[in-house]
Amino acid sequence: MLRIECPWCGLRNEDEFSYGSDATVTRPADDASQDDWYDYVYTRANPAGPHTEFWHHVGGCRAWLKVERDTLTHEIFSVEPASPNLPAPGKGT
Amino acid sequence: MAQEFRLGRGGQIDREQPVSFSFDGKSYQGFDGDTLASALLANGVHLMARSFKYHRPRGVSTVGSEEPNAIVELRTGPRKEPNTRVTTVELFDGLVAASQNRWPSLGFDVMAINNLFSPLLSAGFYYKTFKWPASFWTNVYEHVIRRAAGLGSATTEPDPDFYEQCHAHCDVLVVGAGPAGLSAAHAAAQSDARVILVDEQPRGGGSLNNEKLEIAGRPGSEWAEGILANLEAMDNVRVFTRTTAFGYYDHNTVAAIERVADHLPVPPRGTPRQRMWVFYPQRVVLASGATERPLVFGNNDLPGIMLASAARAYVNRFAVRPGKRAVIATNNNDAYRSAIDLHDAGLRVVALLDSRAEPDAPLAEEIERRSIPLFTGKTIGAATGRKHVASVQVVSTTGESGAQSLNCDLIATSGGWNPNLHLHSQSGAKPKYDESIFSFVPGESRQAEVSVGAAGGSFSLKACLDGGTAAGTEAAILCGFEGKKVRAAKAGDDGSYAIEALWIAPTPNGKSYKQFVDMQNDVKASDVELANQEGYDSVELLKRYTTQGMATDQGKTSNVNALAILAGQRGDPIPEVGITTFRPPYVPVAMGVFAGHTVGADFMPVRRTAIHDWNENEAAVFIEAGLWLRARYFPRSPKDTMYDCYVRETEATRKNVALVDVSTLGKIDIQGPDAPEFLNRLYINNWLKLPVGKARYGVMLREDGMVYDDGTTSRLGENHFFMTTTTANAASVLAQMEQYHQTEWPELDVVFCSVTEHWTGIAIAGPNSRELLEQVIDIDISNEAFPFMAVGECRMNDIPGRLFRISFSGELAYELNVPADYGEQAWLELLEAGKEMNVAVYGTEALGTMRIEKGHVAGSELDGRTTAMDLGLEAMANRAKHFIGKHMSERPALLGEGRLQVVGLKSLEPGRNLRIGAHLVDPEVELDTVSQSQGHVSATTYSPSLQCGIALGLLRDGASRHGEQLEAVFPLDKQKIKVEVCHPVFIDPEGKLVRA
Amino acid sequence: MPDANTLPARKSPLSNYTREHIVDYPRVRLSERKALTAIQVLTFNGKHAATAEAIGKALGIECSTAPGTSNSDGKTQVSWNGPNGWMIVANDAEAGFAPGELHEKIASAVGDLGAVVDQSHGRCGLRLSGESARAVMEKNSALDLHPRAFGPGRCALTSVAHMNATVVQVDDAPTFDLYVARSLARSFAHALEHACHEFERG
Repeated sequence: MLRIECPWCGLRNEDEFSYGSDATVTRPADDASQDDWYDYVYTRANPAGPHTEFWHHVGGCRAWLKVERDTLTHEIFSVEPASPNLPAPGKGT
Repeated sequence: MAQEFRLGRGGQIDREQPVSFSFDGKSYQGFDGDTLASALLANGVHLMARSFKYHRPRGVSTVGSEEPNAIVELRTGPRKEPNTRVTTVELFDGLVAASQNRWPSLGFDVMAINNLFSPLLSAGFYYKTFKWPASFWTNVYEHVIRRAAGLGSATTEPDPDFYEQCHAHCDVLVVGAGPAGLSAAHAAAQSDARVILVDEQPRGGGSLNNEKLEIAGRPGSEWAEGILANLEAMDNVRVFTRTTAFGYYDHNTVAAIERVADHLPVPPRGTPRQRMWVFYPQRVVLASGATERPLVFGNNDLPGIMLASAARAYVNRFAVRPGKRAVIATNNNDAYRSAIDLHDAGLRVVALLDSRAEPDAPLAEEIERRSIPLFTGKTIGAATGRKHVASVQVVSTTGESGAQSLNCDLIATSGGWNPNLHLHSQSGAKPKYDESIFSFVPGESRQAEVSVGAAGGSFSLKACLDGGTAAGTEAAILCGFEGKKVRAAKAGDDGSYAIEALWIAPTPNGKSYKQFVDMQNDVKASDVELANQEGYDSVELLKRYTTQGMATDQGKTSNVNALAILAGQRGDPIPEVGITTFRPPYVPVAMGVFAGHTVGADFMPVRRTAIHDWNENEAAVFIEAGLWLRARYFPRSPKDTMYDCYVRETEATRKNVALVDVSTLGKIDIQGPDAPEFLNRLYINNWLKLPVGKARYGVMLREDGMVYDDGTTSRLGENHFFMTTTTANAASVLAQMEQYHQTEWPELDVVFCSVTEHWTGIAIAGPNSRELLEQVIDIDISNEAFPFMAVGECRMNDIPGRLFRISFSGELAYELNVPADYGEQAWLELLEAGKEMNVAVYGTEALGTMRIEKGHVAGSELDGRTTAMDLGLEAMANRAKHFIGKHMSERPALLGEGRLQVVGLKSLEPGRNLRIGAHLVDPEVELDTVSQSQGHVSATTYSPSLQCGIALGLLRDGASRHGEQLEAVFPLDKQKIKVEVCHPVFIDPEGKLVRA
Repeated sequence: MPDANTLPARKSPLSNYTREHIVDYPRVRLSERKALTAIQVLTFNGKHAATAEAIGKALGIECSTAPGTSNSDGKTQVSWNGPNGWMIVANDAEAGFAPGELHEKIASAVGDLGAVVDQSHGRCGLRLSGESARAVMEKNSALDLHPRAFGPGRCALTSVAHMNATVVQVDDAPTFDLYVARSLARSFAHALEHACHEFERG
């Protein structure tokens, strides 16, 4: 079982989270080419090792998180809020 | 005579508390504090089981959870539990146990004939025998193997007990309450760390309970009791006995099973039988001890042969004589203690055989002082006896030939000690080989754990106490506590642990014997040799080919012997052969405890609407929709079929007025200056110009261009919207909105949350719905004042609410939302208001019928493969703006010919309804491959309005094929129905009714 | 504002329990807190601190931006409810609010700083109290509720008995207020009730 440190809620069990998507792909601009959109929707690197993913703290504070995780060892290197506009944990803006 | 083999004094048993039990129908007595194993031995019962493959007689060979032989069926009826190790079963009054894997009886087992045919049952027997012909695999071989394989039989009755899953956090988790674990827990607790100490035995102390060792000048078990009492009194310490840590998982979580009530006939009320714990420690100290391994010699599986440590544990802890005349064989110093303890307890030790040429001098002196015959350079070549050992053949380990025979009824052997590395290995670490103890020891830690004492390969009592204490303090420091200096308890000198390798004994006079390596799986040394010869020469292959190391004991006593013998065969050093990876669970764990209390009616949480109780009182038949229970239809008499009900409910709606509970639809409150823009990006249609007080039907796509969800969204204020989603996608739509808002468009100033739970939704549908509502609503709902798609705040009688003029049925209809605590009240008041009009209610079945008649697409058409164009919804799309899925939905392949498009289908055969999933096929074609299918039926019903079976379907280029005749084919039961393709909207295509 | 005298009585989600307390054992008690007003506040971009201040001023209770904190005057509870919001809960009768008054008060304090959403009928409130309350919680929740890790004034959004819930610690008894979706209330109460049985005789 993974344990993910939510920046707001602290260390929580994997079952409070749901995996969202690969956080290394960038959503193309509205006027980007079909090829760019195709890559964005379908092409994935599938690395064995460190990877960045979006996880949703759906059983907790509902924040989307950017999680750096090793797909081989499950080691988690960092967890950050996905949104730059949500009030930072502990500070509030 | 009762308990003939019970010693007159000593032991951790309560002689004042006799306990009655039965084994194979015969009654016996033991004492409180006994295990089933010790109680049987006290009564002279050694034959406890038959072996797996050869059905050889077997007795108990260990004193702990590593027991490979003596496994029985425990209890009867619904609590019957097969494959229970007698060594871990605490005796309770009325305990019933039975031997297994024998017929007709344990003493005379017909299948023992396998023993004679054993040359045919060698390693890889199944692979070799049941290979050809392939047609025999499922029809013949599976039945044969199933009958012969397996040991006990499980009960087929429901389990009357329940199980729990619990969670506990701590700074330091200590696994094992022996001398090392107690010291570690004590030291960590002194530094104020939150400590959890677990031990699988009913009492702490570990090996101290089995040995006559002294700590701080008193018996070790007394010292342990004192420490435990101290720990239990501290509020930063929790002690779990009868609790086995069975798995070490990622991110430093450890799972354990607590046998809460296994030692009782029946769990006390409200108490689970067993409990699974998930521990979340910062640091783990593994003090899980070590397991002795047996010597490998001829007939080493006979009842009466056990581990040297087990023999002295039965004497010391249970005051039981496991025999009268003992032969002890060893390759190390440790078994000398068995000779001494057995002798001191009054057993006759016929011989102590040490395979080493040079014994430890002080120990030899102790032996000599007791006049125990000590033979060096000797070991057991073979044992003889039928259902019990009767004598041994003593052979030389230094090359001399010839054998000497000694009579005995007990053999106690020690082949050395293996640290219990299971949890260490499960944590991801790789154990390494230690030449000095001829076994594997912990390698480099991969998680926050350390092994101490015997588990760390340090076997002396002093090392356990010192190492445990240091590890406890260190663990507390690593958790951020100021380490408090704690002095380790002082132990007497228990000598050094010296060992010389002896992996397999020479056979006497060159004869061949069965030399068992893995008793539970009947794997012999010759099987290991054969596996190697046949190329299965890695430990992982050996395990799978011979089954060595499988089943309930997971090779606890056999793994190291097996790989050492394999190494010998290969001519490689042991470290090069390596060891198999340990996997959880360390001990067998019942499936029930993994399920916890989420079984039966509690399997999943259930979501109920505010109208649920009313529905239940009306004998509604419910259907599961996700976690929701929704009323499906309402039988009015016991004879009513679902068909009767939905036809009646549909007709009542179409001709008059009826209510339906639509509370399960997802509802999302959206606010903020950028709310319209946000909706514009989520939906294919336009939201900027929707007037306040109006609702609009919207469609969302996935990023790949396929339709994702639909529903109506209303504008409650300039910057305030109220979205509804399908019941099925309510949670995922909200999650997706949050994802886009937080990861892609954080600059949009908009906030939203689910309000599904706050509102009860009631649809009032039918030509007379306005007439009904007008009696109770405080706002003008005439067509002029409140036209189709109008939205407004209102009060229904005294209940505040929101009214939406929207329709799923295709009739004049309204949807009323009221706060849920008023939901049932609103429902009742509407029924009351409609009483004279004969208002009806309907369920999801009639709802489905009406949506098909009206051609509203739903889940079965939004199947993740259909585009807005396929579903006839493209006209709503505003392709001048950007929205999710826009680009991908414009891929040429999705726009061209050959797409499956939604159509209506009418049964041309009176009285026959279509079936969901039927293929749509050209009448000229006999369907035999899927490529001939031109589409499928997605939703069907009998239409009371059209008085025939109708359906929605997805048909290739269907939008341009209205009027064609096809066949709906259901190949599984060769059903065919002639159908006519038509427009999907069967009734009121102009939408006059909803606007009336 | 609706008139208190004309509003119908609220039927709570746990009305199926006819006894006063769902569980009433020597060391643990579980009860439904009925007819609660629950107001959710979500703040717009950059307005979090200002909103907290406005709410704090309007209610006279600290509204903290620190995650996992809950403040109360003994009647009205202001609990952190995610990165950009709070849940404010009170029983109107106990707290002396007219129906709708609390909503009104918060809405006018928050103004354009955020959204104010009525969740009163969507949340079921339960109160679990007594010496064994932690032991009951650890059967259903992976939260660390040890006094060193949690305590009065703390709250958590977490999974309890496999259902999303808010846990607020009220006092050292310990007393926990639990909030769960109305539709799940019976499954939730059933799970907790079951977990209490072990402590029937203390």
